[in-house]
Order: sequence, then C-alpha cells, then structure tokens
Amino acid sequence: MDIASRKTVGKQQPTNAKGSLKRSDRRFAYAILVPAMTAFLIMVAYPFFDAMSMSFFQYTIYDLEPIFIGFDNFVAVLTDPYVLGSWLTTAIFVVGTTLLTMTLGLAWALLMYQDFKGRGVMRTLTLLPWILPSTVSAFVWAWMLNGKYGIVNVMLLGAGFIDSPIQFLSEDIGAMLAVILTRTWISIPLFMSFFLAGLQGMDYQQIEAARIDGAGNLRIVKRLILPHLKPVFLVTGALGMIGNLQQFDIIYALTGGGPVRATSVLSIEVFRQAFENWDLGMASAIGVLWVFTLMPIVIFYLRSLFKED
Amino acid sequence: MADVILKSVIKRFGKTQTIHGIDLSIDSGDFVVFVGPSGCGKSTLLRMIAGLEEVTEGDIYIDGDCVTNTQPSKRGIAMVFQSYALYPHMSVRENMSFGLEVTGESQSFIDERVSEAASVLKLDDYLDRKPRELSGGQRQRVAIGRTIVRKPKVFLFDEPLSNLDAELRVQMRIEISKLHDQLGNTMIYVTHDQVEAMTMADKIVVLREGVVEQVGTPLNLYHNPANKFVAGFIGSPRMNFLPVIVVQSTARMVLVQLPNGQNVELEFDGSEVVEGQKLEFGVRPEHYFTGAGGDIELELEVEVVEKLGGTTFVYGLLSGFNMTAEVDGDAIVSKGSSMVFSFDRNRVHLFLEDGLALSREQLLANATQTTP
Repeated sequence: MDIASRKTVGKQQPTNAKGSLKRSDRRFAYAILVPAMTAFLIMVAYPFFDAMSMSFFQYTIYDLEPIFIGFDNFVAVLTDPYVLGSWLTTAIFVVGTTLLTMTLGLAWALLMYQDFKGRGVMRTLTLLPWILPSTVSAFVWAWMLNGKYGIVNVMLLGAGFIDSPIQFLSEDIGAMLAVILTRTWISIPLFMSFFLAGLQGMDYQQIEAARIDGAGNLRIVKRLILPHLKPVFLVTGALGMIGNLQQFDIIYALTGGGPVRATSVLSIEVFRQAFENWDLGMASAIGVLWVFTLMPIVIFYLRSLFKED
Repeated sequence: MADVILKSVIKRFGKTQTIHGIDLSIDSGDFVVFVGPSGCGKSTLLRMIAGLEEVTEGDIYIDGDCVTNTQPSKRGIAMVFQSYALYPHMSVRENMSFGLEVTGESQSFIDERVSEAASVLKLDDYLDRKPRELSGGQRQRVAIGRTIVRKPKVFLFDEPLSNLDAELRVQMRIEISKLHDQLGNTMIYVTHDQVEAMTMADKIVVLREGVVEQVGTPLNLYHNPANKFVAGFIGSPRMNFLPVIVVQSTARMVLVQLPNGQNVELEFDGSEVVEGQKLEFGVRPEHYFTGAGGDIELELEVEVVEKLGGTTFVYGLLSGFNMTAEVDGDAIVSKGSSMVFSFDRNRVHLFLEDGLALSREQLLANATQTTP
C-alpha cells in the first residue's frame, strides 16, 4: 500500500506537533531517506566540512602535517590580486555565458515552438551538444577557433569582417569569448528545453487572440510570452549561474585558464592551488569562499523552486 | 454589422480534407450557430473565417470584401475562445485595452471604450483584478468585453460556454443573446450543444464531417429535418427511429408496416417509394403521450422510468427496438410493465435508406426550409 492511500485508510492515528504524518508513516519516510542521506553525507557533506577545516591549516607539499594557521589563508586569498582577479574573471564568464545562453536558448525555443516540417528532427538534433562529452565539445570548438585552420576565421575572413585571422585562444578577450561560446553552445539545449516546456504550457489561444487584436511577433513576445516565461527565467537564470560558477572542464580543456590568467575562473584557481602549487589549505580557502559566492544564488533558486505562486 | 459569405470553401490538413466545399451566406445582424458532433469541422470553419486557419480553396467575404488572404486583425472580426484566452498577467482593464493599444488609440479613447464595455457586461467592479481572481462566468464576460471594445463587424464565438457549469451556462447563454439584441452585430457561434443552438440562433448550420447538412431556423430544423442525421441531432432526447417497410404508396399517402406488424397510414408524398421498400420511421420522444387517444398507438415494454418532476422519461422496447418517450411528470408508468403510448400521425417523419427525409406538408406554416 502506498503512503497516500495509507494516510486515508484504516483507523485514525494520533498526530503530533512534528508534522501531519502518522508515526508509522514518519518512520517509513525516514527509512526511504536513508540511502540518499548516506550518499549526501559521504559525497557532499564530509568533503565540504573537510575542506572547510582544511582552510584553517597550512598544508603544502613541504609540510608533513597540516599546521593550524587560523584565518591566514583567507587573508592571503583576499589580499592576493591574482586570486581576487579570478573573481572578476568568474563574474565576466558567468554573466556573459548566462545571458548569452538565456537569449539564444529562448530564441531557439521560439523557433522550435513554431509548427514546421521536420520540427521533431530539429528538436532532437538540438540536444546533440548536450549529449557530447564536454571535453569533446571543447576540442571541437578549439579546432573551429584555431587561428590557422579554424572555420570561424575562414568564415569571418570570407565575409570580410576581418582582414587577418584572430588568434582566439592566445588573446585575452578571444580566449574568454571562446570559453563563453563553447559553454553557451553546450548549455543551449538545456535552456531551450526549459523555455520550450514553458512555451508549451502557454495557452496558444492567447497568441491567437493577440493576433486577432493585431499584435505583431515582437509585441506578442514582449507582452505575452516574456511575462508568461518569467518564472522559467528566474529558475533557468539561477541554475545557469550556479552551473557556470562551477564550470571547470570546458575551460581547462580549452584554455587551461590562460592565456596567462585570462580565463582563470575560481574552479581553475582552486585546481592550480591544489594540484599545481600543492597548497591544499589555500585551495580549500578559495573553495569555501567560492561556496559563499554561490550561496545567495542557491538560496534564491531554492526559494523560487518552492514558492507556491 | 456585416454579412459573411463562404464560397466553395475547402480545408485540407496535409492529405486529409476536413471541409468539403462549403457555400454559406450569413446575413448582416444574424446570430448564426454552427452545430455538429465533435470533428465535424465547425471550429475549423470558424477559424477560417477568423483567419487563424488558411483556406485551402474557395473564398470568404466579410461585408463584401474578399478576406481569404487577409490578416485576422484586418478582417473586422473579434473572437471569444473556448479557453477564454485571457492574458493572465494583465488586469481585466489591461486585457480589454490590449486590442485598442495595438491599434494605437489614445488613452482617453481606450478608457471610454473599456468603461462602456465594462458597464454593459457588469464588470465595473472587477477592472483592476487579474483573471485568476475571477469566477468562470466573470472570465467569460471579460473575454466578451475584450471583443466588444474593438466594435468589430462580426463576433465569433468558439464554444465559449463549454468550460462553465450547467447553471452558469444557462445564465451566460441568456446574456449573450441579450448582448446580440443590444449590439445587433453579426455573430457566429460554434457549439456541439444543440440546446445552445436552438435557444440562441436566428439560423442554425448543422455540420457533419465537413459538409453542411442543413441550414435553417431552429424550429424549421426541428420540424422539418432534411435528413435522419439532422433529425437525430436536433432535439433532446434524440428522435426515436424504427425500421419500417412500405406496404402501399400513392402521391399523397404512404402505408408502412412497423416492426411489430402494425400498419400505419401516413400523409407523405409516396411517389418516390415503392412497395416493399425499407424506410426509417421517426418520432420525437416529446410527442408521445401515455394511453390511447393519439392517431397511432404503440405498446412498449417499459424498462426504465426516470421521473424529473415536470416530465418523465420512459425507456422501453418495441419488438426489440429501443424507444424513448417523454411524458407528463405526473404520468403513472411502472417499470417492467407493458404500456400503450400514442402520438399523432403528423408528428411522424419518414427517411429513405440514404437518410434523406421524405417530403410532406410542413408543420409550421411560417417556417422556411432551406437546404444546402
């Protein structure tokens, strides 16, 4: 018997202030939570608290044992211009990628919402970037953006937009553009799916009513579709920012955080400190601050998710 | 006000043809109802008039102008949708203003129109509310209000009452009829509910599988159905049908044998039928009364009796064929008994095997019969 039916069948059992579930149901509820909670404790909570405690220690390749140094790692992080610079780099990457992904994801969703022949095939093909391993996508884009043989340069030259090839991956702006474009390309399918689901939840007769009223496409998008998709924007915006703040593999595969530190976002910085400088205390301190950077967005996302209206 | 003319209108969705060359003329100021079972093409036809569906072949004229390829907003129509199609994030006022804003009207003009429509529809107190804060009936009135403010030539209604409960539906039906009397515009209304069609329409268009079966006034369709489909569709409960065999026929009379062996003489033009031909014999349930006294008497085995107070529905069998009789609420009818029911011979309809009605004198002198 499932929980729902057990709640309504049989003798009424007393409830207490802890909730509306009956005692037996509560035990069952806890029991089914055990596997998930165990996984969470081992895979998420323990590493997080371990890293948090490590952030108060000096622990480099030269130290045999961790040495407690209080907030020194945090002071070092917050006074190091290079590390602080990665916050700015992260912000540029996150804002640029999230905005571009949302704009293109919405535009693509609007296209896929139209009724045309082959729409099903197009929708399936749209998911391709999402299915490909991100490192493969990164290498594909690295090849496309290659200064000598890349198709992007060929097209830009052919169209007359540039006179000589751009060395995307060896220039600061070009490298940032490359990681933003690659991440956007991979994220569009997910964002498109969210927006498409939102659009499909809209009463199409509203659009027809607006057409009869004489509204054009732009007005329909601005006055009807965007307000309808507002909750989707909030959720996808938060999810996008969280995902982009955590981004590592594409950037590492594409630029390794370079040239110099041009694309060295927080995740790359943590990796460098931990596995290039072997300073685990410093890496942990950046990680902890990184979590606090993420926290407001996560809270906003969770609030949006559980908000009734 | 404007007339609407459809000339050989055809609609195909891919290889499937749903509308088969419809010719129709709707006079200016008429309240016309498209009625028919699900999938008969009534909504498609309305959407073609609105410009929301392309016309595959044929032409549509509104107020004398060919609008076949004209944008919906340029046709001078306004439409009320089944789902109301209100903009949920806008207030009632904004919903009603939207169409006028699009055409670039001044704010004072918009306010005047909205206030006028709100007054007609008794929505004055709800103008600042969002659609979700309104009842079903109020939402429907807002949907109508949104069309009124634009002062269109033709109003189109696509099953506007189907989401309302029975009581509200009756109330809104009356309100829409009053609105038509008040505004005097041409209105085209789609429904599958024949009671709505009968009570609201000046003229009913009965559709089946993309073909117009009959066009006429409600009473004309009721009394003089062109075929068995219309006879069965118009009227509730539906008409009783019995297979009969022609025993004898003349230009003024047809003698038929009922399934129980009883011979019945009817005043029809029998010149089209021959002895031994199979026909369908139709009588509406409400034309039965209990006991003898009518021209034709039938003995039914009563299976089910439903007493509604004012009327009683009797479901019985005649030689194995289901029959329904709607008799007086006080009639004493008992389940499981055999009872005599009777009716007048001029209430009988005869249909040929292909469904076409056999011609006879019209029951209503004033009713004008129009066939497609």
